[in-house]
Amino acid sequence: MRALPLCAVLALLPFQATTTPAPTFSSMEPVITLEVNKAEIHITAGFHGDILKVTGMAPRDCEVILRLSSPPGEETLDLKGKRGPLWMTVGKVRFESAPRIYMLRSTRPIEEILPPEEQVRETLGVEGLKASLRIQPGVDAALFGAELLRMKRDCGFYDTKGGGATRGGDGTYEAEFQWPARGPSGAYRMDAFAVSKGVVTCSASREILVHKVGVVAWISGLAVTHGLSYGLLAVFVALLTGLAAGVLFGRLGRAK
Amino acid sequence: MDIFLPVAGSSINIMVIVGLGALAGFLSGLLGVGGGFILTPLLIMMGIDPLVAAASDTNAIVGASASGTMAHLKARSVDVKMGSLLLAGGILGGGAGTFLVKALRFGGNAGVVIVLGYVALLAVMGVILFVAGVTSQVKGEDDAQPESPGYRLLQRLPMSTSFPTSGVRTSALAPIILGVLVGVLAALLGVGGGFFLIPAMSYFLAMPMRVAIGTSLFQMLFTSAAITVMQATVNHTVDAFLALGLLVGGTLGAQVGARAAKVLKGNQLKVILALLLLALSVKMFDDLLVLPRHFLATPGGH
Repeated sequence: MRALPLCAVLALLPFQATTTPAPTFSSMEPVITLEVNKAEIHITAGFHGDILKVTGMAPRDCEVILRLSSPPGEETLDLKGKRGPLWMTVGKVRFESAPRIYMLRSTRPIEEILPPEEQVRETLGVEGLKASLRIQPGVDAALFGAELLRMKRDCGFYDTKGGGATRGGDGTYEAEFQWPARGPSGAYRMDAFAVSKGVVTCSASREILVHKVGVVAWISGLAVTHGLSYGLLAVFVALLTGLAAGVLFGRLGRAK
Repeated sequence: MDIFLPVAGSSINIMVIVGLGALAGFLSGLLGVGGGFILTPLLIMMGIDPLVAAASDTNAIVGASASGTMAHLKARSVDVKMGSLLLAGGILGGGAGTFLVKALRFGGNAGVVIVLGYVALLAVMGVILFVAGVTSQVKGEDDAQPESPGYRLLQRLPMSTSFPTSGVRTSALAPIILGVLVGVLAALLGVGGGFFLIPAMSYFLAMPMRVAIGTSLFQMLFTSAAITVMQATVNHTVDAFLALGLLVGGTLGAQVGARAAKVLKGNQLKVILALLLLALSVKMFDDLLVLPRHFLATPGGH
């Protein structure tokens, strides 16, 4: 428990890791550092996902878990069911609290380094994620939680498997996260955890901002805030393109 | 080369969009169908949000039908008089259809009722058209429509008017009634309605196939423009990048399609359209029977 004071300080200042002076390794307190190659992901016209490279230092006898996640939010999904021979939407399921993105990397499989109760406490791993979900009352929470995980995994939004992080001989670690092209804009957080003997001994975090820029930001903004003008503009551009093509091909046809 | 679609919120290869647009444009030029009924399911399969796919298709159809309409105007295969009456009916029907959708939604399970209606409609139109195309092909007739029972029925209505471009004389109420039906269907099913309108014009109004195609495009141009503006205003689901990509492909395809339409015989066109309708009917019905991959889905699908 000697690790507590420094861990407590880091936990209180999770978003100031960049400005915190480099921790001194001379002390015996376990400490983990975290660097992400970018603090912002820009969604441009040619965007097709991104890669986040994570590096840092951690005590050599510790395992490292990295978590990229969004603050939990509310989401309502359609529920499919069978009526006679047909599959159709039979209702809605409201998740009162679920992250939009949840991805893990670790130096060894999560279930080998963290017992279930620690996973739940730290919201790490499948058990931790499932326990953090809040589903509308009156439905089978375990069933719908598992189904949500399966769907989000197939979308590339959830990755609870872990693994993929490597340690260097000098106490460093590194890992990569593939940011999905469809990942929603917003504020996300990268957390690094050092785990020793089945317990998280210290952590660090960085904020990552995902947002649209340039023409993508302009068009998506206009579409939402000025729907009518945007619609008229879209029709006008379509008409112009169609007619211009018609004239062009008409001329080409005559020239033959 | 990937492009990020600002409203759809996803990334897709631009050549895929242009290619899909070209396919739809070809059908549009050849058969006068908007191509939306092919494009929408394909885009959804590629992970585009269904609402965005439908609305952006509509936007692209504005451009595709503009060039198609122009090509057909030049070829003198647009019956503007008939088209205007259809459009008037379409606006009435569209308004009525919108309220029908609202009522169905209130009762629950509107989606499946709509899809099943689609399946039946496509199958019936497909069979009628296929039989008509094959029969006259065998008999060696050209594509002038003989007097079908449907044509004779509508001819009995008052306000008999001559439509010189189509070379028919029928009641002015006939195209308005058809327009109302198409408007209701367009609002219910979210498609331009060309796939229904063309066979109907051929059967009920005895219009030559080529004029039916041109007139349907003319009607569709105005309908799709109105729907695009409504979707953009109410649902914010029009993706301009997606529409433009589809459109670039669409304008190329439409020119090729319009030229192919001149070469191919009316009966062959009927058979091609019939097969398309039947294939789509089977596909839509099959989708309702297949076990879904996920039991939870982001709202907006079927």
